[in-house]
Amino acid sequence: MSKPLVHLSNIAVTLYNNSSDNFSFKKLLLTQKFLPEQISILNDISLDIYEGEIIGIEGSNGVGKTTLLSVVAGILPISSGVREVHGKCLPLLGLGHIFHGDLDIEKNIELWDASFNSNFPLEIGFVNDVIAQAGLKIKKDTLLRALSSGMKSRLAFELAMRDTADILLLDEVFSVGDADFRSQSSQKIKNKLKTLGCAVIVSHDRKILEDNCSKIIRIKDQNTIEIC
Amino acid sequence: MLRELNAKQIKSFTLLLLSLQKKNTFLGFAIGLIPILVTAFSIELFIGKIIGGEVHTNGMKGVNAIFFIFLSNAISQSTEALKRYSSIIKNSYLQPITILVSETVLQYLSFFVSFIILAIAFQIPFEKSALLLLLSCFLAAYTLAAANYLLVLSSILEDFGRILGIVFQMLFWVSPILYSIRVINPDLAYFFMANPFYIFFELIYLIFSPQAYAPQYFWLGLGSCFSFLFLLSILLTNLRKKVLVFL
Repeated sequence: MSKPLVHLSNIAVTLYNNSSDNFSFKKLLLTQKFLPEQISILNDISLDIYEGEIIGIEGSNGVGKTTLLSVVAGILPISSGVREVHGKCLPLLGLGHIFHGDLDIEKNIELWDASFNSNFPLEIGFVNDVIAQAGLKIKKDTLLRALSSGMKSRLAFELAMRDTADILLLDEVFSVGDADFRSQSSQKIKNKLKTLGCAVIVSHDRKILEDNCSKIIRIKDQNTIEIC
Repeated sequence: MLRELNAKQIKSFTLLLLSLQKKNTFLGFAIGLIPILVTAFSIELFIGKIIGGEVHTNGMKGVNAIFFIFLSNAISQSTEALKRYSSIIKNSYLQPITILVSETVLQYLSFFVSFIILAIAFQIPFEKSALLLLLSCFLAAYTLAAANYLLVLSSILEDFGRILGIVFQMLFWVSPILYSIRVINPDLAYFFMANPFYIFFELIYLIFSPQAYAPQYFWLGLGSCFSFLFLLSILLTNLRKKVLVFL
């Protein structure tokens, strides 16, 4: 069998719990506790993804689906285990999260290009084409904060489809936008997936996973992944 | 730190920050210089003379002031910026070091233009100006190294920005900006030399008055400077590697 494009072996991810407690210097002085409580998100998880595979991931909220994608993308450090990824990843861990409201559309495309090392040809024609293909009726100097969340998602999705990554990591991409956007994006993503090395799709919608993926896995808890 | 450096990303992000801070036009940039120049000229012409007494070197207190404003702004703004752009960092390959370097570059740009204005206004000789600019490059590298470790504290402690503000307020008074360390009681002067940034003000003093070189001031200042960085690296290197899990 060929070498996997993504190889995760017995990985563990530990994060610091910042959901319920604010850590401040005052609290440090009062409690002598410097670091927040540690929480284990994933433990002893292994996963191989081969060329041509499209893996669907399902699981309940907070079980570690997005964390797993962040680990594959190399954004989150692992506490133990082995992570080997051959190829450039494009992690879409939430459409629109990498934009800045105070920048206009053109500058936000530049921000995307810098943040994902996309090497887009950043000329006026490219920017206008992205706006048109995203189905947005706005000018390139419109500030991003004037856009609705659906419009931001359209813009992000269009940029993602133009990126030349080998490994696409999609987190609940299909659940945003109106029906028109969903049907268009579904078709675009199917075409895009044909030219990729591999892809991972996270969704709560079983039908989306069955329609798009060659294999579906379920994260049951922090220690267990099962093939459905 | 070096592995995270990406020249293309730093260049793009610096230009975007310039737009975000509205410094991408001549007027916008000039407005950003007003507080720095007002402080420097006030210290040189009025406050410095009232508090620190008359000095015979034109421009030295003003230069001290812009050096201090640069180092405090570079550290506080770059560590705060990490929080401001944390959602982008967590969802993409934008590196924390990119934000640090870009913020420091913008602060240095403001410092550089302010310095040129001061050098012209107070007729600082060319050789001294060149040495001061060389010193400012060392200061920029030092603040970048210190901010690289301190950014992890900024992502853990939510009131770190306020603490840093208080620390810099104290550092302003224990740094020889308005006065000379040589007029202080020598026993007390050693306490002032524990300030890790003291050496930069000592070197500014020596550039303006090389005949005043005193080895104990120089070497103790240099020792404090490197000890502080060494201490930060010992205490924070492991946490710095994990900064993304705190964001």
